[in-house]
Formats: sequence, C-alpha cells, structure tokens
Amino acid sequence: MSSSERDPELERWFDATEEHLIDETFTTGVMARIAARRRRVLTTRFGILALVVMLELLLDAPLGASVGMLSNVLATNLYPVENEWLEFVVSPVNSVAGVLGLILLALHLFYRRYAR
Amino acid sequence: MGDAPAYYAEGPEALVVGLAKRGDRDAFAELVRRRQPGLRGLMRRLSRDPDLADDLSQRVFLKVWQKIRTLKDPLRFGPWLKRIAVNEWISEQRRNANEWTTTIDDAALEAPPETPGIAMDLDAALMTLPAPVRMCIVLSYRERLTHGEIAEATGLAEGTVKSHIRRGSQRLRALLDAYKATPEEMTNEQQ
Repeated sequence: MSSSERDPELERWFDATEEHLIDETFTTGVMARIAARRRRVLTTRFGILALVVMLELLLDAPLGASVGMLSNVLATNLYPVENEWLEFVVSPVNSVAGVLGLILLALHLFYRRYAR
Repeated sequence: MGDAPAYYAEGPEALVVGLAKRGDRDAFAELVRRRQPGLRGLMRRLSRDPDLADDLSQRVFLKVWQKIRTLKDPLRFGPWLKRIAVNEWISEQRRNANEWTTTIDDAALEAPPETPGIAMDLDAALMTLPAPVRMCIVLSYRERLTHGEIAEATGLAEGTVKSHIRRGSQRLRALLDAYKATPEEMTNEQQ
C-alpha cells in the first residue's frame, strides 16, 4: 500500500465517526495550567535567589577569612633570601604556591609521557 | 486571560503564531481554540479514554507554549504541533510500559475478531491494535499523513510504518466486515 492508497472503506469509517470537539473550558484549562506553571517557576526562582542571598550573608565573613588565610599560606617564602634581585629571580619557585605549581606541572608531564 | 483583540480570531494562523512566539498569551489562547478539535480528536483516537486524551492534549499545549519560541517557521506550526503530540503520546505509553511494545504479536493481529460487535465502535476497534500499529493507522487515516511523514513524526523506520499500516488496516477491515456480516448480533450486543 503506498501513501495514497488507503482503504476507502476505512477512510469513510474514520470520517463518519469523527467528533467535532470545540470547548472553551478546554482553552481556559490550558491557559490556567500555563499560569500555574509560570507561578511555580517564579516561586522557585525567588526561592533560589533568597537562598543565595542568605548563604552570602551567612558565609561572607568566614569565607573571606579562609581565602585570606589561604593566600597568605600560598605566598609564604620557603627559604629566606637576603638579596633583593635573587629574591625576585627565584620568587616563582620559592613559595608554597610555586612548589604546588611545579608538582602539578610534573604530574601533568608524567601523565602525558607515561600514562597515555 | 485578557480580552483578545477581535482580529485574533480572524487573523491568519502564521500571524497568530508569530504573536504567540513573542509571548502574547491571548494569541496563544486563540491557537489553542483553533487547534483543540484536531488535537483532542487525535488523542481520543489514540487513547480512547476522553479524560486521558484531554489531559494529554493540555500537556501538549503546555509544551508548545514552552517551546514556541524555538519554532522557526510559523507556517510549519501544524506539523510541529503534531510531532509534539505524537511524542507526548509515546512518552505516556512508555510510562505505562505494558502499553508500548515495538515487537508486534503477529498472531494477535491476524486472529479473527472474537467480538464482531466491537466493529461498530472505531475507537474500540483501534484499541484491539498494539499501540505502535494504532498510532500509525490513526496518523495515516485520520491525519492523512504519508508513510514518510509518519516515520518522521514517530521516529519509526518507514518500512515499519508501512508494515504497521498494512497489518493494522487488515485487522480493522476484518472487524468492519465482521460487523457488516452480523448486524443482528450487533444490535443484541448493543442492548
């Protein structure tokens, strides 16, 4: 049977029993569902926003202190260098952050060389 | 819903779709008004239960509202709506896993109809078909879609669509013929 070759008897059966459904209540129902969903979305967004603001207010001070402490630790010199110029030259590796950076770089190179 | 401008009801569909795409809820309500007979009819043919059919139709319109901004060509609103409707129905069938099966029981389809009386009610006759076959038959006979269009809307292979329609038509035809052959039985069963 090709696309245009439908059984004419069945076609008539379908046509003869077709309902004509027009109902304003249905339209109102759809629009009410849309409005309800919109309210839900707005409520959720407002809730998330309120939560973020609350967390920000609660965690602002401890978070700021932790970040400050961490940056102090990372910037700490490992070996005290007296000479100003020498201190400048070795500063990229003469700190906790520098050593961590070198370790990560070494791990990365090791991974690229042997692990793949 | 506010009072929609009077010209919404007479305006060409592409224009109303364009307004709905821009978030005009009155325009969307007009689209629901225009398209509900077709969509609800399709869902009723597919599911038989009028309450379920209306619920599915409402869900389809809700999805359409959420996605209408992604519709590129307002002139293609009809086929687009149909595709969303078919997907929604398939999802519903998959949620009730027993209803949806991609393997069709040939014996069940080819068996002679047990109750000829069922033939008087097309919806009841359709319910004797497995869900995918029913879907292809309804899209072909009610929506007048070609096999290619059905394949596109349902995600089934065109060969599968062709086979479902052929076998589904034979089954319905057998039910219809059985009804014609035994009109007295029908009357008795009705009573």
